[in-house]
Amino acid sequence: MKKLAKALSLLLVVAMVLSLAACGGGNTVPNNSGNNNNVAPAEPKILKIATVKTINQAGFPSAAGTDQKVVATTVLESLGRYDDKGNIYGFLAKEIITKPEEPAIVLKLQEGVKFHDDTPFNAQAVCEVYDILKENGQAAQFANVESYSATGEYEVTIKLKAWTTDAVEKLCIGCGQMFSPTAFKKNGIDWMYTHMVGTGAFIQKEFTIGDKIVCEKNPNYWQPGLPVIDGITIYQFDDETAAMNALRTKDIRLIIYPNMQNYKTLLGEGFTRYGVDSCTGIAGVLGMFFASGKEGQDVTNLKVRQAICYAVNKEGLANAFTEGLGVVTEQLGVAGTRENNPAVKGYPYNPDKARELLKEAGFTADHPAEVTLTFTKAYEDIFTAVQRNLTDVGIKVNLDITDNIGDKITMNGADPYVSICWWSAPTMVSGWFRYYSANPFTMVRDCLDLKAAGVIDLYDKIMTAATPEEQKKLMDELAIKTVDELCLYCPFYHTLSYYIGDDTIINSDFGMRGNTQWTPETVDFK
Amino acid sequence: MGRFLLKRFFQTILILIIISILAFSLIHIIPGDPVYAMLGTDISPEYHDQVYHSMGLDLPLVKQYFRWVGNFVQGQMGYSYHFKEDVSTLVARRLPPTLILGILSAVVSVILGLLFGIITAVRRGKPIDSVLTVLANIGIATPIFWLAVLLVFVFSLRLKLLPSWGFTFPWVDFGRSMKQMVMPVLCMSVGGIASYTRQTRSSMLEVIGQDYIRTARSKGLKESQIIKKHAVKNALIPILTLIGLTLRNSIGGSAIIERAFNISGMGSVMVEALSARDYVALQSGIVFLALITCVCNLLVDIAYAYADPRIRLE
Amino acid sequence: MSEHLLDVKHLQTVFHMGDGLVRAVDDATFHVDEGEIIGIVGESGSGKSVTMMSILKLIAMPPGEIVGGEAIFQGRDILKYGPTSEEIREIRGGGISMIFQEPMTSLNPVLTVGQQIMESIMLHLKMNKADARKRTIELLGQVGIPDAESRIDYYPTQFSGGMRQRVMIAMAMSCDPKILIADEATTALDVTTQEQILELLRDIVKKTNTALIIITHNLSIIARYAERIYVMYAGNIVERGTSEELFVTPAHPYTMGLLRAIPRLDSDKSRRLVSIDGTPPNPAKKTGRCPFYERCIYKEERCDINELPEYIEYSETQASACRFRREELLAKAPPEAKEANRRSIGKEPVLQLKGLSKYYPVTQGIARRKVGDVKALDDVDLTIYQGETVGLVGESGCGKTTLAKTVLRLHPATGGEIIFRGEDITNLPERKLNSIRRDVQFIFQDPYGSLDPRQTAGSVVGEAIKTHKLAKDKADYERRIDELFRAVGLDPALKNRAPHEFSGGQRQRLCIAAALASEPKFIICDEPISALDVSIQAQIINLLIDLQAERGLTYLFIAHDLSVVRHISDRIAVMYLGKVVEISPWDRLYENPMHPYTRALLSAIPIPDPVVEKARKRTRIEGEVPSLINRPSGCVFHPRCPYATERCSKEVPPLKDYNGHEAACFRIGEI
Repeated sequence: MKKLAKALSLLLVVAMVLSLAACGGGNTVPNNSGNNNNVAPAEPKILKIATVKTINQAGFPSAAGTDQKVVATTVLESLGRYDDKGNIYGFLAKEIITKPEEPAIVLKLQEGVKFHDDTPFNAQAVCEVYDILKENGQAAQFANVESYSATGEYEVTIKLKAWTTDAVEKLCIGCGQMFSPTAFKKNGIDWMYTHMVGTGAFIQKEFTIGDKIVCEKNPNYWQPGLPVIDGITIYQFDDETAAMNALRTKDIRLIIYPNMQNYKTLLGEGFTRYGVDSCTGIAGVLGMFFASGKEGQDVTNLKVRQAICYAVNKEGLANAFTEGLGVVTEQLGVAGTRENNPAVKGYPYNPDKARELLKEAGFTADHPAEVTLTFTKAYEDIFTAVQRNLTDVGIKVNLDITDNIGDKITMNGADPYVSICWWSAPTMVSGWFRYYSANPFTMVRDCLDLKAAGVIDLYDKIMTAATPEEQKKLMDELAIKTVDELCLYCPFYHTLSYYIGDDTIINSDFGMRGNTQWTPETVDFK
Repeated sequence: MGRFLLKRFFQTILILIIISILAFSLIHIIPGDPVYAMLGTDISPEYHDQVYHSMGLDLPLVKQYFRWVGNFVQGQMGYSYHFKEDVSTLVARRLPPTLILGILSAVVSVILGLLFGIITAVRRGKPIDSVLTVLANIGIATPIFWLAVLLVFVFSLRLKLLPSWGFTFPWVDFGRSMKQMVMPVLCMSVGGIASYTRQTRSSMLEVIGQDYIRTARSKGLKESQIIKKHAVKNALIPILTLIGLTLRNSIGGSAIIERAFNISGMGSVMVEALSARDYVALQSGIVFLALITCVCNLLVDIAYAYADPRIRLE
Repeated sequence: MSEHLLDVKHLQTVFHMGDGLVRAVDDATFHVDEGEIIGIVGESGSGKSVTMMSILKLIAMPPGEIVGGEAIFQGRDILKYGPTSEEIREIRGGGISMIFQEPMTSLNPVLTVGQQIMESIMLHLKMNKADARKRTIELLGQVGIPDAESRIDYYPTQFSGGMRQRVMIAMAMSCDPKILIADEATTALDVTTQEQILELLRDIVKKTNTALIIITHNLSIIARYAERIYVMYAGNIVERGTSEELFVTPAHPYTMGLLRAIPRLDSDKSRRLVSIDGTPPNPAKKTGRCPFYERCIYKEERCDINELPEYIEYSETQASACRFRREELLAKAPPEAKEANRRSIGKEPVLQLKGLSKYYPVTQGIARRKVGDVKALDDVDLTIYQGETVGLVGESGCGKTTLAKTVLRLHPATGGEIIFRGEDITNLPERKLNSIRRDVQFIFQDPYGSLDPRQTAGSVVGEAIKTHKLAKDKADYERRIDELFRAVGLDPALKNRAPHEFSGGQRQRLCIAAALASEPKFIICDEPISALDVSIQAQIINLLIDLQAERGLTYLFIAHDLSVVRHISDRIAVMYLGKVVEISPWDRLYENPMHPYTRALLSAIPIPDPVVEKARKRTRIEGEVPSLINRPSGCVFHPRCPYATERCSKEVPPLKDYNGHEAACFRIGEI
């Protein structure tokens, strides 16, 4: 018995030694930053956030996706920001002066701002950031840029090849997120993916993929008095139930982007929704574009397209697939954004009208209109529902499940789309511009002659409009044309970004338009 | 015994070599280009070529393997494009929590399982036997994730006694560490406790029926001495082989627990690497888990040989 | 009546089993005095072990229960003590100690023998560790374990069977018990080892004046060692007496029957053994009537009442539980031993083995490099003639079974020739073996393991008929099976039963019937009776002899029991460590054994007659059969041979013919 005990303890000791050895420099790994804040004498106010998606890259070269944005905006700030209508205003560039006539953009930078590595933020730095981005996958954003240069310690002048209205967005927001170019030069691109060195209210202390991101208050933040809290830690949860339990036990305060069912559950338990903001450029519209790579398809008939739009029960889809969170929209510029045109009538659900239109177009039960829905596997449920809607009014529907919708749409692939593709789009038209750098409506290809219909012309005018007012007028016109007149697409609904948390961070404007210094003083961190 | 252990040792090496070959070939069995599979097709051809070269994929297969193994032995396990760091630092960070939980739960299951097993065997047919046996059967049938949910519900949400998630090293904050580990360790050991209880019970019952127990009785020994000195040690020998399995199971199966209690351990690394097609991390993870399993088995074999003179003296 | 050391009266033990009450011990009354050696003899299931275990309260309770009687040990009734009480534990090991049958399993494998012996000493003699160790070393020396100082720390696995039994004896004797119970203590051992152990036991108890109770099924052992004997049958002591009384003037029909049924080294071979027909009663279905009633040849109507017969005392020591006096029984015309069937032995050799060898490679290391051979069979020459029975004897590991399997081509021979009826079958391809397999059949030792439990008895027997397509049609098949059943003395009506419904003896009959089905010429019998009870063995031996005469069969009869081999064989081959050391006609082998090993083997076997036994001159050998891996050089027997010379350890003695009597020894002329 004694010998056995000895043998067992030996086993244990060996195993322990093994585990210690495996730690290696275990002590150099900071593992005490997140969980044991209780031991500190003056309890720091740390906001703990949970995410259920793997964040394995934030802020560099650009923050794509909700989670990444939340992470990036705590540390990095951009030259410009959206206001609550979607207009861009200067932030790190305190003034953005547009000169459509030259064409050029002049950025007057905020003075006295420093990166977290203590290097100064100035015109030189902005130019260097542009250089780096151009060489690392963002060249498309600079396609229209002739040159940029520091024209003063805090002034950058960007010369454009031709004036386009999306230039400001591309240069001040899309490529406007400022990181320390010195850090990049020192550490290289691989390091940059998980190391954000910005100017923001919080400094990144730890970024371990699959585990957590720890950010601490920046004591030298350029906006005095901010931030109000001492840090933000974002934990990655593999299991949403665990995250929900952590929220319930007040171990965390907020969950970014839970799945809709869990969101509803938590809402039912009295938790609060955060981040309802149509203007962050994050939310997306789900819908379908009428498009055809072949001539003579049934969707080339306007009446068929309109019939389809009437036949789709958008309300029903939103309820079924978003737990009621989706907001039905009739145009790409959703309500609450600058691009929205309230005059657009759209096609509210009306199957009778759809049938009528089909009849007028000469389709009968024996000779039905025929369309093909092309989509990826992930959207199978939704489009099966759409198929049912369409079949109800007598349209024959084929389903085409593809691996790469991008290739079909951008016509890179050898196999062009047949009738209708889906696409989830940014809410703002400007987002379209940024994404494609080309007129999105060209997707319709053989459906109709866009040039003759005046869409090309109108789009080009929007792109080169000198003032925002003029642009707005033209966009309203485009909305009426593409929806009510030509019926080029059929949007279903849009879901805004939604976070759920407890009421201790209420009124904090969390997630709104890249607020990193948010949180009111009333936050209860007990 | 020396020969026995030497044999086992070489077997272990052989197994590791086979597993390393399997893990190595992983990257080559997947259809298509491994770099595109890992990083997606959006990357530029230059970047693709650079990664392809840095992973040594342009070398002949045999050379690649030896390069990989050589680097592995030296602690260079390559760079994970998903976790954006060297796999060696990733493993160094993520393995310890898994190991600690695994070892703790193995220890807990062994101790409690043996205790219950001995009690049920000695008190065979008594109420405590029936109660523990029923509990053991329930324990074996209990799904771990369900138990985790139940425990969190009771101890975190209702009673507010224990934190529902997280992991802290004991040397950082002992109290917190223990509190956080209670539920994961319990979940991981329930199956072990249950099966040890059953195994020990039947092993004990078998031993109690052996001739040498009758001999011990005929010597006039006290029943408690007979159990302690004569029965338990014999009954433990078959159980010993299970311990290696338990450690392997708890480490291999830690993914579920790590998920349920949001512990960043090796299990979730494997799951994540798999879903992110991070073959570099996956390869090393597989070899590491195999290494742990083999080391466990080797240790168990040593303990086994040590405990059983029939093998020791071979 | 004088005070006995242990006085057991009317002990009654039952087991509550699922299907009723099993009355294992009905009425056991016996006593033992200081320094006395008594024997309790009985077949398996006769309750002899349960009796002893009951006294020490070692039976599992429940299901066991001692329902009556008393056992006075040193003036106290020890049956009154609870099974885990302080008092009974004091007596166990301290007052009465036991040695069990299986030396392989009776010692705890994970404790050193020292620990196991010392534990007892420290418990009962209240010694400290150092003293206990000293005493243990002494004891181990006393029981003949060489180098006890270091061997005390050995584990049981490091000892051979005989050595382990010595350790058991040391353990049992460690606390100076008053009584030592040896429960079938030598049954599992080889003949020569068995003798050594029994001699040791006798010497040790005589020296310490300890009483010894030998429990065995072997009458011969009892005859040699016990002073008084109790015969147990079906839970009752049916007869008691001194060994002389029992062997010379047995009074109970069962004792008489047993003595007639066992073959003896000195018995007349021309007469058949007189078997006791039937089987012992099922202890779960006892009625209370004389337990031997069903098998008794003297029974009368008045025996058929549900009441045990009273003891009839013949002397102070002898008594028998039978309603008839001894004289009455003898007057009732004892069953005449019939003449054994005569048969003729042909001149045609059926089987010839020439230099047959079978080696198993010994490998070492990871690479399984061959480092040597285990010579299980080494250059064996043997010829068996038509109609003959050749007995093959030897202790465990001598290669008897390997020989049988090699002849049957169950595994390939390493060298030499096997010639069956003039045809060399050594390397005959598998497909041509079918006809050979039809002619050569095999009867195994274990009738339990060798019958497929899912087949009916009829299909077990008929299998060979189907395989070799011996039946013309279904009716012919059935007819042949019935015939075979009758041939082996089984009722053909039983053929639809499953094998497990048959008793051990009946099962062996089934095996024989199955072997006969293909109408073989030659049958290899591998220990066909050693798993059977004494009273059943005679039935099977007689059956085999009868069948041989009727069907002109040739037997190779493998056994370790020299008395049985002697009874059935025409010629006998003695094997030792893979070599045949002596072959001779049976009578000459027993009259004039040439090889020292044969001599030792013969003298190790007691004759169940104390008078003859005391007069015998005996050759004793030391040591045990070595493992085949450590096969000695030269003459394989030389390390144990009392006559070994320098030459014996270097050269291998050839098998020399001394006028039809062959032996392999250099010193035959001198000894």
